[in-house]
Amino acid sequence: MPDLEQELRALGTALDVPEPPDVRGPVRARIEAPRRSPAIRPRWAIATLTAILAIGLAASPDARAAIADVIRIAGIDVRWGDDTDAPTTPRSPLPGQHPTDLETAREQVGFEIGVPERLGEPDRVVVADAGRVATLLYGPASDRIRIDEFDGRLEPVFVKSLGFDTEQALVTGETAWWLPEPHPIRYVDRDGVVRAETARLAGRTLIWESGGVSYRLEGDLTRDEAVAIAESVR
Amino acid sequence: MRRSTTEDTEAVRRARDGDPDAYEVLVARYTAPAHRLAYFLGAGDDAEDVVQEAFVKAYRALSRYREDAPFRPWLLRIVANETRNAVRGRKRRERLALRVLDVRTPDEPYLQAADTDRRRALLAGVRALAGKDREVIVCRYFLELSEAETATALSLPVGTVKSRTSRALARLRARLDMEVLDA
Repeated sequence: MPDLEQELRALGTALDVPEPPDVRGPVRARIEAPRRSPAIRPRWAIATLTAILAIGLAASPDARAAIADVIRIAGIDVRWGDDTDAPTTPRSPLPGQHPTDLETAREQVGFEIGVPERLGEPDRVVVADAGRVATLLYGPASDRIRIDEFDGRLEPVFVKSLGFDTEQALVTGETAWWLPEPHPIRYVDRDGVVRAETARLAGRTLIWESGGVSYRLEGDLTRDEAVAIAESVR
Repeated sequence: MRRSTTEDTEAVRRARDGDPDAYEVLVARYTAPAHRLAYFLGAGDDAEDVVQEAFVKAYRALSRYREDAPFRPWLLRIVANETRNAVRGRKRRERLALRVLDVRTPDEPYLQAADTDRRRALLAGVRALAGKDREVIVCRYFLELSEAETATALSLPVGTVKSRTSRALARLRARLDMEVLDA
């Protein structure tokens, strides 16, 4: 009886794998380039751009103080009324955003990243604002499901402006909020600066909190689908 | 085949201190296994990009690298993660990984017909393994990594590597036995 392990090693050497490329030049060029401009591959850059909240600096840091009618849930302020003070100043992405993988993201953020079993491993993971927000992305840009996660014990992280009613929902017995219509969304950064999105509205969204972590799930989902995904987070 | 880890550690230390020549030595040394792993894990045409990206990320992560840990499996772990980042979807990676294990490839003129048949059968067996078992077999035998190195590269506990290896070997043995009976 031949030694199976030996045979496997021989098989490995016989397999036709292309010659390794010489990457010394490109690697060196990139590690010597200024850190500010990491050469994200074009494919990634596109994925990242579609993933990010395209955001602008708020016209005034007082914007938060001006919010009158607010519910605060899971680190998200939801505010009713029109959003006339939405800024038109230059857009900037969620600060410090970079694509990564789940394992690295888990090392980079200060909370436990939950992954919904119903969706499985995300196609993309993005960490922003020095580990404050982790974003899991599923599916192509045209049919994207997006989950933002952050430490729910923080001050409000997102501000949503609504011109319509929200619905209460239950996620494993806890109060959650279902926002059934597109709405503007802002990000409140570490320094309390409100950064408002100007490029795109958030779609249907479920907001909930679990184990000290706040989640906002966004995608073309029914309320029941969204709740089912939320309840499968481990 | 295996470089001494002290040599690597020294190169890492110098690279971290800002010596790009030292890092280039590591790049040259480990491009081949990195490329091979990316290929076997399903990077397909992206394998070169994956390798390049992995080396750049590894460089930027050198400050987090523990000097007493061997460099090669640490790098291969970044390669494995990078492959998952670069090629979307488990199924797509699986398809690309299987393409590398094409049954036609291992023909070698100096092999006896019976040996060729057996090798084909073995390859078919590897293809038929569950993806996570196959990844362990790829690391242990096609890349000739130790159990500990495989565990690091695939981000698995060593015990899991052991159990998956023995499960996969048992399946392969059973399959080869069947082929013999068929013949």
